[in-house]
Amino acid sequence: MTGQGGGVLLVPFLTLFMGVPVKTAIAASIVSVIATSSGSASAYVRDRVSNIKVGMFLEMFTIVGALVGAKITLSSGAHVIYLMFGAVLLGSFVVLWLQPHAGEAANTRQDRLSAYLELEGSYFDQAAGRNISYKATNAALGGTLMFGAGLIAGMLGIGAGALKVLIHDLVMRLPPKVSTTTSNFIIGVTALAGASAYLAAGLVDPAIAVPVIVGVTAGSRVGTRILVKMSNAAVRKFFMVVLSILGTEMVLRGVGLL
Amino acid sequence: MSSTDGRNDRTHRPPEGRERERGSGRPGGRRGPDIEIVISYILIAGVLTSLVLIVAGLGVYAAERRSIVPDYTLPRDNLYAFIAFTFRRLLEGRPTGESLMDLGIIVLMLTPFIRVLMSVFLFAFAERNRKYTLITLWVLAVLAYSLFLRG
Repeated sequence: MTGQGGGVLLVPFLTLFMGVPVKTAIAASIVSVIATSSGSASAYVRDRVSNIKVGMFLEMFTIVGALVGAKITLSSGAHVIYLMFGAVLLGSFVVLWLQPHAGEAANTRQDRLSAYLELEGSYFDQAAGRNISYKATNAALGGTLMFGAGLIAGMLGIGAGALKVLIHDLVMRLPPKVSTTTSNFIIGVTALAGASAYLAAGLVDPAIAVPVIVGVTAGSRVGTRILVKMSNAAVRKFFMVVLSILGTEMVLRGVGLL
Repeated sequence: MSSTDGRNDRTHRPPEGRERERGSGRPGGRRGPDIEIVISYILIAGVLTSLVLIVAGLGVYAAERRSIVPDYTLPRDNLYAFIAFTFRRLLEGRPTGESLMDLGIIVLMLTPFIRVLMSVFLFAFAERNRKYTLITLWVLAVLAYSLFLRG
């Protein structure tokens, strides 16, 4: 939908309401994530809002995480996956509730590694009507945490965009627009690493994956259009309700109560 | 280092018009393919091609089988084997709904891979950036490895 919060709802929907086995749902979801993230990343990259260097650097960590994550899921029982998924849904709920955000001013302070890696840039801000220059910092910590974000993405078949944005914002101090669009750029490659593990395991089932790819791509267009019309507060409330319900249901399944 | 010429531009033209002057933060007006533009085209072309193939495949499948639920399985193997399998089937006769949908899934999965592959070339030859050529090569290597995985 917005690059965050769309993918994480798909797998619970497929498993809880459509009766799809959780690993098959995860495999279909991660393949569809390639389509949605690459589609929107294309526009952001063209408009030079995504930072390609920050993206490529962080991809080094997310793809390894995604491979390890997919391997964990492939060798885990369904209950473990339900629990992990429930935890991520409820965690997203908490993040949305607290809404942490770094300061408004663009960061201009930079550590030595980030400077060496040329993690900086400028973009044209439509709202402000001017170019905004920024520098990213904490490359080492950011990279390490991105391994974790990749791990969750690979395990659960989601983009884990919200988590990536959080790391970009709070640790690397990227401007909000750059952090969401760069996260989108990273998600496609990360999803491919995970998707290839699920494909090799024979879990990409066309009966689920094909309708999901078509539906999610069409749905993300419609969803964005609806979201644009809703107020930010309404979108946030809607997601908080959905996340808490689905998260609770997934946890209940994980402990065998549902 | 970053595009100072862009900041002095006070005419606020739409993004398309500003691209050339801002030059993606490259020093001096160096010529050659612009990494952002190339990547952007690869991504959108890959996703659109894949969607067209999948939807067309679904249409052909529905006509052949009178069902819109694609009820078949993919080979339990890596992407390279999947590609070989699909092309063998395509060469055997006219494309079926299944082989078109398979081709769509293959194009989709190859899209980020080709994006990274092209980034290696662009960082190496257009940007001449050693650091990022190596970083991108690492990403490419891990992706290539993941595509060779066996279940």
